[in-house]
Amino acid sequence: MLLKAILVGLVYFVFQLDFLGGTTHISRPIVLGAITGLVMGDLQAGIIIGANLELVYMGVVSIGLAALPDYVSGTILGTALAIQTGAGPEAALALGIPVATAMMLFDAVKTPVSLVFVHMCDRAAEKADPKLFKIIFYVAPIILSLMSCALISIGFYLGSDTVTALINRIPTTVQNGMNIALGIIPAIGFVLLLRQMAGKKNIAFYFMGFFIVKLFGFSPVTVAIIAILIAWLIVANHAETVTENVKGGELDEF
Amino acid sequence: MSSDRNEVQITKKDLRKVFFQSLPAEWLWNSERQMNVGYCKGMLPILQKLYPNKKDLSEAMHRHLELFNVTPAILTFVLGMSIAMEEQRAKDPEHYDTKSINAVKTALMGPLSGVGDGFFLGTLRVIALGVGISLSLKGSILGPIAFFLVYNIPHYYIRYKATSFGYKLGTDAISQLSGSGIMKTLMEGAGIVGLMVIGAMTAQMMTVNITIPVGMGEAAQTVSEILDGIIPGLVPLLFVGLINFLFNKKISPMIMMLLCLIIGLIGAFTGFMG
Repeated sequence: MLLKAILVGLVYFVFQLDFLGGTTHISRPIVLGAITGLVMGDLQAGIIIGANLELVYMGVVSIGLAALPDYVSGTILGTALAIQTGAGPEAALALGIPVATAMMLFDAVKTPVSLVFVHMCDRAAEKADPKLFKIIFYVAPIILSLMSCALISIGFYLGSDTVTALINRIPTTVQNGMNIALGIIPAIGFVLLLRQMAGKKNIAFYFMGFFIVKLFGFSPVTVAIIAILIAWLIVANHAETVTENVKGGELDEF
Repeated sequence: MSSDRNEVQITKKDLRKVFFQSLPAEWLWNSERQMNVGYCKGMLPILQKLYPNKKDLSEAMHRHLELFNVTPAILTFVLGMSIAMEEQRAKDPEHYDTKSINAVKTALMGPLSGVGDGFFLGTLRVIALGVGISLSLKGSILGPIAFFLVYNIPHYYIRYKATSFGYKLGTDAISQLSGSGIMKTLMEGAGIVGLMVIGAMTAQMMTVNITIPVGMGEAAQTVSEILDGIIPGLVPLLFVGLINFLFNKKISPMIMMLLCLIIGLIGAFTGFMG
């Protein structure tokens, strides 16, 4: 049982490996279900459960910047617990949900830790030390995902009911606080970029993009299209004297 | 002066290195600057070749550690453009508008993600799933395997080709345009697109609500609601301003992040935010 729990936890590492290979989507339920089934000693059940979960989670992809529900840990634990208890694919979804919730909370803990590593990379750049940079780059996610692996193992070991009971003990104020912070933190990255790109002459475009979304509810992609048209207008008017070269320019922009 | 100039040529082999080195672009994806570390990692082979000088290398690494995000499958296209621009810059650092490198990256981020997500996540992935799921439901191991292959063969092919495509396009555009004033105007255009997309992303990603109630009973509104009624999204913008102010005061981003956490916890405990 303990060995099985550890193995199930390690399946989460497959999710992280997905990013090492260039986002190959091996973290999708259709693949992870099969791998979990293999670990649990019932490959076929794993494949079938994975396919069913994939049907549920098919629409869940990180389009642009939307936050992901943690379907990864949900799939792994749901599949493992369903096979363990002999329940069918329908049960897998329900069994996975408490853990998926717990893992989302855990993300709030992982985020600051991951940012510590990102800032270590900044320092490696400061010293112009590519070697150190690469070491941090490779090691950091391993540490981060092993933390999650451990949680999945514990979740499997304790079973679904215990996990639910444990989650209910975390004060909601702490959960809310983490969520509020996650709503503010992205501003740091935006400001860093703005300080590089914006000046008095063009900062208005930043606000234009911001308010278009706030006022009309457009997506950033829509704003990008509008922005290209505006830029086109401005560039074309500026470049009247050298019109010949504009064609190459449009390509460059897109 | 001429000692600073660098006539190193970027070869096909270098581009191939970038393709492989940039595969784990999302390996250290983070909520502060997203794909930045992976991008810098992908640029490293080029940067190390172009800038033997430690100071230049450090600056270049910082340049590519800025916020960036794109559909990973077509990341190599943007990398190719950056390579072309860095190569050009290394040849004549004094006269090159270094800011334009990030301006182009940022301008490409939105439109390319729109196209890339639409094709890779919306189309190719769905086709691969269609093939895979029908096999998987019967319990066949071919299901996950077919899914993997149908998605990833085109994925890797396009990703590989996009490296040299981006590089060529970047080089051609630069050589065609350099000398004429049009390059500067174009960079202005790229800057406009970039800024508007960052603005849009700020509006979409930042959620700050001040929930202190104002007024009584049915008519009660929260501070955020009232402020949004005047200028929509005023509170998130104020936070952007605050963080900009902290940068002016040379506070480290790490401390700012802790500050965000503390603000979040205080906000939740007092019920002032939600």
